[in-house]
Amino acid sequence: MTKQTLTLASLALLAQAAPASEALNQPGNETTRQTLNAASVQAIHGSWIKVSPACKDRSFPFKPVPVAAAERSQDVQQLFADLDASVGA
Amino acid sequence: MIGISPFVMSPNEKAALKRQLASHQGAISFTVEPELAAYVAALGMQQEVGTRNDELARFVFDASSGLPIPRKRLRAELVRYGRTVGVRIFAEGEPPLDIRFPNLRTLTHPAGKESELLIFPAAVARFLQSQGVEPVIVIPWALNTVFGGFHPADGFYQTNMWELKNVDAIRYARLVEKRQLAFLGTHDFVAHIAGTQGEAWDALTKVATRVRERLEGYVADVSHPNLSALILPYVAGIMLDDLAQPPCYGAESRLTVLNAVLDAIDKETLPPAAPLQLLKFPDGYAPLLEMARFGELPDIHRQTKPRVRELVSEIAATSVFWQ
Repeated sequence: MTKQTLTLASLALLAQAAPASEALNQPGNETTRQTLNAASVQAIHGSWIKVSPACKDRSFPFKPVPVAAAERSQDVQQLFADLDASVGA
Repeated sequence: MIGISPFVMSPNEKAALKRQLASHQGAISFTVEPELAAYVAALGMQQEVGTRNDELARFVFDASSGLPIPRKRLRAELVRYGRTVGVRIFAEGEPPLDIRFPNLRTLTHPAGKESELLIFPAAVARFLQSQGVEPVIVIPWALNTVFGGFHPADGFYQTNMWELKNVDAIRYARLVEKRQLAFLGTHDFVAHIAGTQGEAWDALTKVATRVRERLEGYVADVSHPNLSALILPYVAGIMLDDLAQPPCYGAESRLTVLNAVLDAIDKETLPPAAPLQLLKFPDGYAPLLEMARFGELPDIHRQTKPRVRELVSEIAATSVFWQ
């Protein structure tokens, strides 16, 4: 295999020349993509771990705020009562 | 409280729970498998408490001193209550806890003392169901977080990269579209569940449908799309995840970025089937996310499209084509 660097323009040409969808999952093509994806994961590891967790998924960008003591709504009280009842408490 | 008893799960019990979970496909709902689902959710939270993956920790303050409690002082243990399993969260020395996040303490069992949080996923599930939202255990996610890919010392879950490779944004959009919400750990409990409002999900499901349709169309017929093509779908998934968090319901900031990203996802620009290797995670990713999450709305309106275009160009420039 040989490699070629890309620009948006060359990608557009590549997309136009892409094989029909039925050919995309031929064993050769699929294996090539899997191999390249494994190589990509290795290649981007260093730059990926530098990205702050605050910019990845599972993040929650909110700060603590004082919360007044809140009463449980009747519905919520009821669901705990149901839980207690289910264990015979 | 009488009837609530702490226990320690042995490695064999954990392995058995994993096998039981792995015997199912896709996702299990709290309605169909309430005890198994509650056990997995409780274990997920218990393992995260006090670690860097603990999303609850920064909201836990000492009610006496008013100071935040360092996460390394937080502890959690599994508790059994009848047939259901929950988690008890407390701090070393058991000071009274002040939870500085709205709508969270009300979802803990009222029998809990001021110094602890008693969380029973079965009761939390009932709350969600009252809002028309069904909590689920997504099995591949549970296997890669609760049962693997997790190490308390890691900076973050290793699964982020896994989610990128597997186009999990599609899986996530499908869940939200069906009014389902993953409940696997502290992130889900704090960021997604506390404060859930069922009526907000009416609009959210429509956004999820748009995301799913766009992403499914993009990677249709392509197994293992190249990684270069999966950066924008990953951003779309994160924006949808944000929009499914009560403080962010309907947030124009996230919707603006999400719409621009969906518009930029195009087979002609970054063909997902092409034999591409990505050489570097794009520098333009983090500033786009930071802008969406922390930026001012006028700036977001002005800068989103150019930033997304720059991100696409950067992805192309840091990809190589093999032939």
